[in-house]
Amino acid sequence: MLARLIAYARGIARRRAISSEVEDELRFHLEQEIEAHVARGASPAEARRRALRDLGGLTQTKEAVREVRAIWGSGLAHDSRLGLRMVRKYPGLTLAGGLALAIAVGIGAAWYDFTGDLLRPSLPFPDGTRIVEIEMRNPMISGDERRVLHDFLIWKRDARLIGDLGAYRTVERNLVLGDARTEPVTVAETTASAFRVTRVRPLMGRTLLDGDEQPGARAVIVLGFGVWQQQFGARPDVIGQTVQLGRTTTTVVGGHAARLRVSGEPQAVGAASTSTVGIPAARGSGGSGVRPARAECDSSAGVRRDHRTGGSSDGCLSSDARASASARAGIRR
Amino acid sequence: MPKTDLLQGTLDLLILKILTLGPNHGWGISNRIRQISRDGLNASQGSLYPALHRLELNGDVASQMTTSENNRRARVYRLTPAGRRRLEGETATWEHFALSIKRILQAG
Repeated sequence: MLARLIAYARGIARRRAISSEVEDELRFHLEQEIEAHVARGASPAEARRRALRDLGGLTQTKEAVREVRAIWGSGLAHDSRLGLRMVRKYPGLTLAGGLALAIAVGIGAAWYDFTGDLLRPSLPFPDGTRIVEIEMRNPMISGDERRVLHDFLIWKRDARLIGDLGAYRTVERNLVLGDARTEPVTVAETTASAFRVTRVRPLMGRTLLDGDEQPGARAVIVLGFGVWQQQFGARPDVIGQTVQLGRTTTTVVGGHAARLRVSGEPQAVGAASTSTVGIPAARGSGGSGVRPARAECDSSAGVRRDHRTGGSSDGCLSSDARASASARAGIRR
Repeated sequence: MPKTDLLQGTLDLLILKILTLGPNHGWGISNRIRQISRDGLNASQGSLYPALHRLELNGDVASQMTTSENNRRARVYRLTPAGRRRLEGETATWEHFALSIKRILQAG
């Protein structure tokens, strides 16, 4: 915009000079063209005739250039003259109109900002606005298509414009505590990359690593803040302990702050079964969560991609991880 | 191959692209279009110069009068950052358009 204004101002200031320069410019073109024809073997007279023919008429071209500049100049000049005339003739009305316009623009911007926060809230993570959620929808059943693992792996392998890609699903598991108490918790089984997507740092210990996804890796869990406080009494020595999560014995490797909430699920505790992380949450503990922006995909397209690249997941995730990756994928752009 | 007049709206794109190769005057730009298209395209001077001046008023190119070796005055145009951005956008649009046309022509 600035470049255009400068170019326009220069054009106005140098209008007369430019007019004579256009003549020089076209003369230069004509002479170059004549020389080129002569170099190809034409006589000077024939070369001049051809050059003039190709140029389409010097006068017409000059007029066309002047017209371009005149249209630009006259448009802005006309608008400016009209504006000044209105200010002079109706100063009060012009001032009121200008103020009303400014207020309306301000209200519109504020409303857009407010509704934008409501409808498209950003996640409470660093650069949260850059995180989006992808869900696969099956239009035949008007519901989620949960078999997106192969698509996830293809996206992860092929995507060039995103920073990272993670996937998770939530499941219900019984957390068996040391005193044989059993607490039902919601577990988010995720890929290790989900922690990179959210850039969440652990409150203690560590988050999941890519090695935790490898076949044969021991089952590990990252506790959420709420479960760490309620079920483990906020004990600092919980790292390294083994806990029973459903039928899987897992090792606590870390704990994260309560703010890691996903897509409206209850607040979470991290738990990892073999090569996956769960993020369980105390039942009924609320937690509004934040629902990130969604992009719905045509599930049939996903299935076709899946078939073309079938088997690409082998060796990438264990069976548990494959299951865990089937629900949703979050990407950082 | 017969020379083809440019499609409406494509001349700006070609001028901007030619100027990515370096600053040039109107005759040089016209010649480059002919050479690179292997005489397939012809930018008529009646449309080239108005287009160059329009691009300058838009801020997409900037120009300067220079004096050549044989003492002729020529206006040399160069691409501006705004022009480079416009070229990127119009290139993407054109590629999409050309691909769509090609798909239709190859259908069936």
